[in-house]
Amino acid sequence: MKKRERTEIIYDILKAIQGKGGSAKPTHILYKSNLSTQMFNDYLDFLISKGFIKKTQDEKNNKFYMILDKGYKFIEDYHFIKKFMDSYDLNE
Amino acid sequence: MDLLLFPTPEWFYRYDMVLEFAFAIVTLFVAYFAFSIYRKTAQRFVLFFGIGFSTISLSYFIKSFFNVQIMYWLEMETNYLIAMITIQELNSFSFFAHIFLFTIGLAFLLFTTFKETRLRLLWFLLLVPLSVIFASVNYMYIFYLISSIYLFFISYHYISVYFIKKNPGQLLVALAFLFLFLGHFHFLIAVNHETFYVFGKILEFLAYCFIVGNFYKVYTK
Repeated sequence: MKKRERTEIIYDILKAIQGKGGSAKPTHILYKSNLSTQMFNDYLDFLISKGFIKKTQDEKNNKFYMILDKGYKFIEDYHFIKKFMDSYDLNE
Repeated sequence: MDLLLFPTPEWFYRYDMVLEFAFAIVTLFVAYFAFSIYRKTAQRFVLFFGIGFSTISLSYFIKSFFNVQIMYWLEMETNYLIAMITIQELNSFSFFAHIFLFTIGLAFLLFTTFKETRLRLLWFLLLVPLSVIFASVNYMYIFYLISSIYLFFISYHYISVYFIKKNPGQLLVALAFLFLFLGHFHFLIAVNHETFYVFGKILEFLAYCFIVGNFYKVYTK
């Protein structure tokens, strides 16, 4: 199986949240992103620190992650980012 | 001719100035997009790549700026001796700044091709060529020799990547670095440096056309 690049993982997480109407449970995102729990948490922390998503709770104290404007912008720019990085072979 | 001087023919200063400025803009754009991607993804290679292109851009900006000054002294100064001394000083400073920054830029770009995370290699790629260049008598020749070696390895990397992945964007990038390599390498075997300087600039111009072509390809959906 092809190893996913960091940019691709970020995109997959954001798309998973977007696919659920802009807000998704961590279990759903974890399932969709296909990562280990440790890596998943690292990515979520990174996305929160970058202002791509934010953590919320409903009235039953269920945790959700909501995609923000910067996150939507990343999805929009993803193909440009990927093409740029592929052409200069910058993927890690 | 003083070895510290770039062998730019006098008639070419005006074109050189425009070309260097154009190269500075193109490389600045590449650096800008690399930094904007780094802000979004925090990938270290993208950061090093951005630093590489931004220092190359600065090296061109400085050279272009000093070419404007030289043009001024060539056209305005009536005292020939004062003009020649000033031009030589400006040319020397512009040359040193250009080779210093350009070599740093190439070291960063070469480092990204190694996919190496240890910074020791980066320090090696930075310090060894700069020490060799500034410790040598013929700065210009050694600069072109080292930049040719670096550009050869960068070109080789992108050509190899293209043959594995067959991505047309990678072909454009490979051609760009190949032309940059040829633009620097031909200088080592040139007999008439003034003519070959112009020829080298044409090759460099073609290289940046490929960079722009790739940029257009990346940006259009």
